[in-house]
This record gives sequence, structure tokens and C-alpha cells, in this order.
Amino acid sequence: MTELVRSYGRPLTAIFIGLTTLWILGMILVPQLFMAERSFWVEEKPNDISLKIDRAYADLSTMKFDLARAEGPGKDEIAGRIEAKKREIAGLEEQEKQPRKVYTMRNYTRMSALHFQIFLRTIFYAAMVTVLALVVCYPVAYAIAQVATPRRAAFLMLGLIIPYAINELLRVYAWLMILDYQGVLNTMLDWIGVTDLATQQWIPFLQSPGAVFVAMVYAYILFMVFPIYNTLETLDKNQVEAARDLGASTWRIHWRVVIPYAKPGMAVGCIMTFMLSAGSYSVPQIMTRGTSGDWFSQTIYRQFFESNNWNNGAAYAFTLLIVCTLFIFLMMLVFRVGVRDIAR
Amino acid sequence: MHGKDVELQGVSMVFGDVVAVAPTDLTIRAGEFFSILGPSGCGKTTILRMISGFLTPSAGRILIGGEDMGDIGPNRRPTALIFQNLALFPLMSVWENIAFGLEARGMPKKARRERAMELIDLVALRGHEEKRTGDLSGGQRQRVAIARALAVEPAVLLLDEPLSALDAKLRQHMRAELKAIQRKTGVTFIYITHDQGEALTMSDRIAVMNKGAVEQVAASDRLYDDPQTPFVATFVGEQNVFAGRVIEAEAGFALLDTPFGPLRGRNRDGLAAGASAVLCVRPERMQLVNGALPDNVISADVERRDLEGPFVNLFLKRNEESIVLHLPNRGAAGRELSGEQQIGFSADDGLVLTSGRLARD
Amino acid sequence: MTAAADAGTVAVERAPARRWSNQVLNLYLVLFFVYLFAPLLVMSAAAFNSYSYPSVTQWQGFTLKWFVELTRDERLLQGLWNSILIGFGVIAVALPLGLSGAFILTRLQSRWSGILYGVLVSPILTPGIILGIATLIFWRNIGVAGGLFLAMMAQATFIASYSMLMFMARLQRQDRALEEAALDLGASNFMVFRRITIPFLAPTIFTAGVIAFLQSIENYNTTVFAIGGNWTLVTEIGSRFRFGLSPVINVIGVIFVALTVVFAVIYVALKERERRARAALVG
Ligand SMILES: Nc1ncnc2c1ncn2[C@@H]1O[C@H](COP(=O)(O)OP(=O)(O)OP(=O)(O)O)[C@@H](O)[C@H]1O
Ligand SMILES: [Mg+2]
Repeated sequence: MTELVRSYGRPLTAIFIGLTTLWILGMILVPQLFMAERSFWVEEKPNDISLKIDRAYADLSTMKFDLARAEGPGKDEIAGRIEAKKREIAGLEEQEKQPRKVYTMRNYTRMSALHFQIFLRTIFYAAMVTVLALVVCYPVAYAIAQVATPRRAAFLMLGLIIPYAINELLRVYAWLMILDYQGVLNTMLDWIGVTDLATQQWIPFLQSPGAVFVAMVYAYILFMVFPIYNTLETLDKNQVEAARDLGASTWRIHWRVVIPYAKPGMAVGCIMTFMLSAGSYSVPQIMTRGTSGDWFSQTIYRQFFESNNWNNGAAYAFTLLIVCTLFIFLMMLVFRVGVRDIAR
Repeated sequence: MHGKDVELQGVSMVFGDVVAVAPTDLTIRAGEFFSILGPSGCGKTTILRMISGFLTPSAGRILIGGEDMGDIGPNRRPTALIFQNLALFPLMSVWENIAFGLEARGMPKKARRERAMELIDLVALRGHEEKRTGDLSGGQRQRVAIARALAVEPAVLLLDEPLSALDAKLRQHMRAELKAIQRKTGVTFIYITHDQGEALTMSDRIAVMNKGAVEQVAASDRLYDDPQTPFVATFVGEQNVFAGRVIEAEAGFALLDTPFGPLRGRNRDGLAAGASAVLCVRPERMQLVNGALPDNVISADVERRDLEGPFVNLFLKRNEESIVLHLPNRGAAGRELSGEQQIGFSADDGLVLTSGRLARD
Repeated sequence: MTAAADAGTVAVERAPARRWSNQVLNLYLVLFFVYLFAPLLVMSAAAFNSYSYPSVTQWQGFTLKWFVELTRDERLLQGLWNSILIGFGVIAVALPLGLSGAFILTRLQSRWSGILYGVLVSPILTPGIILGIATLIFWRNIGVAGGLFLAMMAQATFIASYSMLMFMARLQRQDRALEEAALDLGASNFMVFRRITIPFLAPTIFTAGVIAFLQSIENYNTTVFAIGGNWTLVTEIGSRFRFGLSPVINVIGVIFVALTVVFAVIYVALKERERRARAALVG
């Protein structure tokens, strides 16, 4: 604190602390707390209330029936009772419209088997995307950071940056066109006679979750390349040379020198890729052309904007957040890196 | 401009468990060229940063012109610091750099520029005022830093090894210029260096530091001829050191039992017999013995002879102990020296000090 | 010079093994880049096919009519305008937040700074849909419904983190002595900030602004939850996949690809120039 005031003076320090506090509280923590809070309650209509209303209506009709047959002073008395009953009914109906807020774990425990299955599948595929991306990207990052000459590396970086910077939706869309019923792949299979487009005998790639998987790998693979590249770029080339001169084999060099060095980058890449895949709404939405809800993000979306069940949606979202957070800790453990190494 | 005095009263600085500066009392007189000399890491920069206000001492008080600087931040102290790496503002032109302190004081642009131009003349940078500092040579950058510091008319100018990045020739030249500027302005200079030549030639007084403590404060001559501690004796200039025990002490002299036999030197500190002590003799105060025997005579074997130009370094050795002599270069006469030689020195040229840490330890 | 010569001898000594493994690596790179670019080519090509369903295989002749169609598409144009509005909003919100966070984190010496850092970068590590949902739920309690404003706030939450990281990287390269020198010359903290720190950060502020804007325009996962009944260019594209998929989307793709190529080339060229300048300085 004194260090801050000494550097920036009181007024600026106050502004910086104020803005950062707004950011942390107003945009990061409190909204997520609200989301979490919302996931722990349901709006409950008191369960006996509709019964009570039914019974009151039944009473009312009995009274009306009595009223029709009543004579003399009893009639006024019945009329009075009818008025009271009507007020009671009005009160009950008002109660029915204002449901009670009940704190419960129900939003979590009541997840349907289907939704749970979707959830597991999403996590599984996200993990697969991550592993595949790691395996595919490590050689690329290594080649650009360590082997290529500076000029060539700049050129190759350009080749990475362009697809990376193009909108995610459009990148996925490209794969939709490839895997479509009359898309590039089916047409090519048609040429070699495996499919026959004329009679609609094509392979329905788009109907399998594999299509989402393929597009997802494509969409997020570059989030793995850049972090690994960034760490490997700082690895002293002489270190690799030295290991080679000592007679180490290529495998050994990678296993003992390069990979340990690249660990922070790998951790970041894995965290980013997993988080993006597990939470991706765009890829399944486009690959299924918005029709099926086979991905957890789509299930969440439906809870919010189709079933209009925000509490349930909040619970699902919170579950996803927890899984992603656990994944971060898992990666920190696996790669033995600290918080400060992440997102560097 | 006129200088102010600077007073350190029991000032110390501790970082965690590193004592960078031990409790120190020091008085620097107004208008003085005062140097702090010491090996790397001895706490020189730390002292300077405390005086300029970037570090708050762990204990003690700093007074400038009699005023306690305790609550006064670096931007309100009458000091200006020239940083070890100069810290010129890379995004500003030369004159803007120099005028920065005036801008901070709210001087209008026109006046600022005029004043900056005066300083540019003072440091001989006319013609470079619009350049970016990155486009200047090392010496020119040095001058910008000096002009920038002087622009705020400080009472005390603090310089942290300002010449260390320059080549030897330029350093010589800048020494003279700094000294001239100091004379002209009358500002108190506190000059940090680990180059003793620099300190000895420029300073009115020098403080020698070792491991966070000031070991001696004195003018150049006193420092060289009358060092207070073995560290100062060996850090400033070269020294032959003979370690031993005092055998007898009388009439201002002490006789030491050393690996080279008994040797006699000035007993300035009045050491008594039995005390463990060192005898220090400057290489240039020793001679080869021919004819009359001096107070002390040693025999040793010639090992090497290095030519320095006007004089010759003669290295001798006996029982793993080495001795060096600076002899005037007398041409062919001295070239054939070899084998065992008798060397000697007068007892007046040897100084006996209580043993302690040497600069080369 | 000697280093290069040494490397040369090493390369000669181990030439066969090295050449072989480098060939494999090169082939791998070629395949990888084909994988990256082929789908984009397919998508771009369909923009010029006059067939009304996006396709490259049912080629019915070259046309530019889908470009014309795009200029008549009111919803897409409105979406673009909304995206631009949100983008500027995000710049205005995210940059000050990112700067504040960076200033604090680079100077705060406390046990808490690690935790603070974790919290401030957490939006980057949080799935985008969750940022959208949390923003939506939070603001609903204050009575604000989904729309452009919420989309902007939700995006700014994580874009601010990205800006912060950029500012921190720059601030860590700043020579503290410059600030101290300015203070020593009598400048107030504010003047140091205005005359030294901000000019030093200026190029990064510009870059961070551009990147924030681009990230905002491109964002889908967060926006789709926070946008309510309104729409941006990207959410509109997203909804076209369900109804009304036409080569107009491919035209947008072509434009995106073209703009990206131009920007990326400029970016890499600038980087390369900076690298060469640095290399020249070093020797
Ligand atoms: N901010 C700090 N935190 C911890 N230790 C420090 C700090 N600043 C200085 N020190 C330590 O204090 C001691 C004195 O450092 P100082 O910079 O004053 O040395 P110096 O005499 O200026 O050395 P040089 O000639 O190399 O510049 C060193 O051991 C240094 O490591
Ligand atoms: Mg120093």
C-alpha cells in the first residue's frame, strides 16, 4: 500500500484501487456469487395452496347452493359468509402468484439423466480436444520457436495468427461446409464411389458428436500453440545444442530439456483449450445448425432462454465453472506450475 | 547556487537480514567535493538513496542544511541525484530533459527553454538540444544528466558512479569537467565511486566504506599516507603487508615478528608487545639494497618484472609470501635482475596496524 | 560470428540425422498449415458461387451477387453497428480497469498480490458463457435486462484482464530509475505519471485498445447470453445457421479473412522490424 502511494501519490492510488475494486466486485466476484446464489434456490408454490383454493371454491359453491335455498335472516348471514370466502380465495390466489423462495440443492440433484449424460460427454470431449491439441501443437511450437530461422519463424507466425484471428464462428462454419451432407467430404467420397449424392446416400457426419469434436479441435487448437511457443521462444538454443553435443538422442532432449522447460506454456495451453471447449456454445450451435442440444453449453442456454428456468441454468453454469476451476488446479499439479506462471 | 551541508546521525539501513549500512555518523560540509569510495556492494548507493529520499533509513536522522529530512519526500529535498545508469528520459529531447525539473516547478515554457539553453552551454552541448537522448554519445549523455540535475539548482548534487560507463579517456576528461563545474557552482557534491583514482584526484575528502561501515574519512593525502585500518591501507593504493606479532614497542616504533624476520615500523596506534598486527609498506617506498643498509632488510627471490612505463613492478617471493616493488625505470640497468635480492625500507615508511580485514580478503 | 560458425560445424557433423528429423518436422508443418488453411479456402470460395446454398462442390458459376446482397441486409448491418458500439464501450471500460489493475499489481508488495493477480486474470480462465450468465443474473437484480449494455459489461470483464496482462508486460520493462529521476527533480507523483509513465505506456495503450476492440467484435459465447433481444454482427451470424443460411455469411467470411490477413501482415511486419532493430542494437 505505502509502495503504491509512494509511486503514484494518494489521488491516483485511490482511483486505481477504486476502479480495480469495481472490477473485482462489480464484474467478477459479485455476479458470480449472484449466479451461485441463484443456483441454490427454487421458487416454490406452497404445495397445499392449490388444494386449499380448490377446497375453498368447493365450499363457495356449496354456500351459493345454500344461499339459493335459504330464507329470511339466515340468507344475509350466508351472503356474509360468501363474501368472506371470496376474500379468502382472492388472498390464496394472490399467494399462489407470489411463490416462496426456498433454498435447496434441488437444482443440482434433480439434473436429469439425459442432462447428466450430456454433461459427462461434454467434459470428456473437452478433455480429448485438449490432449489432441497438446500432441499436435507441441511439434509446431517447437519447430517455430527453436528450429526455424528468425525470418522463417516470422512467416510461420503469420500463418498461425491469420486463422487464429479469424472469427471462431467462421472457422467452425468452414468445417460445417466440409462435413455437410453435400459437403466437400461427401462429394469426394462420391467421386470414389463410397457415397452417392444423387440418391441421397451420403454419410451423415453432422449427426455424430464427432463432427462437433473435429470442429472444436480446429477452432481451439491455436490456443495451445501460442502459449507453448511463447515459453519455448525463451529457451536458449544453446541448451538444446549442448544436450545434443553430449550425445543425447532427440527423444531424450525433448523429454529432459525441452518439455520440462515448456511446462508453464503447456499448462496454460491446456487450461485455455479445455475451458474453451467445455464452455463452447458456438461450435455445437453451428455444427448442429442450432437444432440439437447435445452439448452442455446448449443445455444451459435452453434452461435460460427456452425453459425459462434460470435457477436450473445457474446451477448448470456453476457446475461448469467448478469443473473448469478444478481443471486449472489439476493442470497446476500435473505441470507443477504456480498461479503466476499462468496467463503470462 | 550554493551548497548545503549534509549530516548523517546514526543512520543505518537493513533489508530483511542484510545490513546494507551499519549505523553511520557522517558530516559533509557545504560546498565540499565529498567522495564515498568502497568495493561493490558495500552500501554506497544505499547511502545516496537515503540522502535523496528514495529509501527511509531503518534508524537515524539525515539533516540537510540543518533541517531534518525525515518527512520530506525526494521531490521536495534540495538534492539532485545522477543515477548510476543516468536515467535520461528516452521520449524527451535533450532540452526537455534538462528543463524537466523546471517544468515540475511550473516555470513557463519560454523561460524553461532559456534556462535549459544556459545549462546546455555550461555543459557544452550547444547544437544537440533537439536530439533524442538515445542519439547521443556516452559522454554527451553524461553531460545531459549533469545539466538536468543542475537545472533545479540543488544544494547537494549526488552522483552515483556517473563515469563508470565511459571509456578511460573520456573519464579523464569528464573528471576535470565535473571538478570545474563543482568549483563554479559551489554545490556540495557527494560522489560515489569504486575507482580510487577518481576519488583521490577529485575529492576534498573521501569516506572509505567496507561492508556497510565507514572505515575512515579523510583528505586524499591523509588517506594514502595515514590509513586508519588495514582495509583502508590495502584498498587505497597498493600495499605490501607483513602479518605478525609485536615483539617490542618503544619511542613510536614497533618491532614485528614476521615470516621475513623482525621488521620495524611506525607504531602510530601505540600497540603493546604481544599484540597481533600487520606492517604495511607501499611498493614505491621499498628499494633494492645497495650500500647503506636501511632499517629493515629482507631477502627474497625475483619472480617477475613488469614494465609499466615510467616505473617497473618487481615481484619477489619467499616462502609463498610475495612482495612487490615499484622501481623507477632506469633503462637497461635494471633488466637483468634475477635470483635472490636484498630489499629494504625505512621504519618511517612502515605502518603498524592492529590486524584486521584486508581489502583483498 | 563465431557462434554461427560453431553452429555450422555442429550441423555438418550431425548432418544426416538432423536433416532427416528436420525433413519430418517440415513435412509435419506443411500438413499442419494445410489443415489450418484449407477449410478457410473452402469457406471463402463459396462466397463466389452463384448457387444459393453455401457450397463449393455444386459450382454454378462465379458471381459477386452475394456481396451486393450483404449491403442490402439490414439486420447484418444493424448488427455490425451494434458490434461497433459495444466495441468502443469495451475500450472505454476495459482499458482503465486493465491499467488500474496493472499499476497496482506491478507495485503492490504484499502477500495478497498473488491472490489479487489470480482474481484479476480469472475472467480469462472462465468459460465465456459463464461471464455472460453471471452478468445477466447480476444486472437483472438491479432491473437491467440483456442488451447492448450488458454485452459490453460482460465482454469488458475478461477483455480488461487481457489488457492488464499487456500493460503489466510493458510496465515490467520500465526502468524504475526514470520515475525516481523525475521525482528527484521535483516532479509530483501526478506529473511523473503524466509525463513519464503514460508516454511510456502509450504504444501499449494503443495496441491494447485495438485488440480489445477486435476481441469485442469477435466475441460470441459471452455475448449470446448477455445480448437479450438485441443482436451483434456475430450473434446474428450465429442465428443464421438455424434459419436462412446463405452465401452472404461466406461473404462476411471472405471480408474477415481479407481484413485479418492485412492486419496480421502489418502486425508481423512491425514485430519483425522491432526485432531487427533490437538485433542491430545488440550488435
Ligand atoms: N532493495 C534492496 N533489497 C535488499 N537488499 C538490497 C536492496 N538494495 C541493496 N541491497 C543490498 O545492500 C547491499 C548494498 O547495496 P548497494 O547498492 O548500496 O551497494 P553499492 O555499494 O552501491 O554497490 P555497487 O558498487 O555495486 O553499486 C548489497 O548487499 C545489496 O545486495
Ligand atoms: Mg551502487
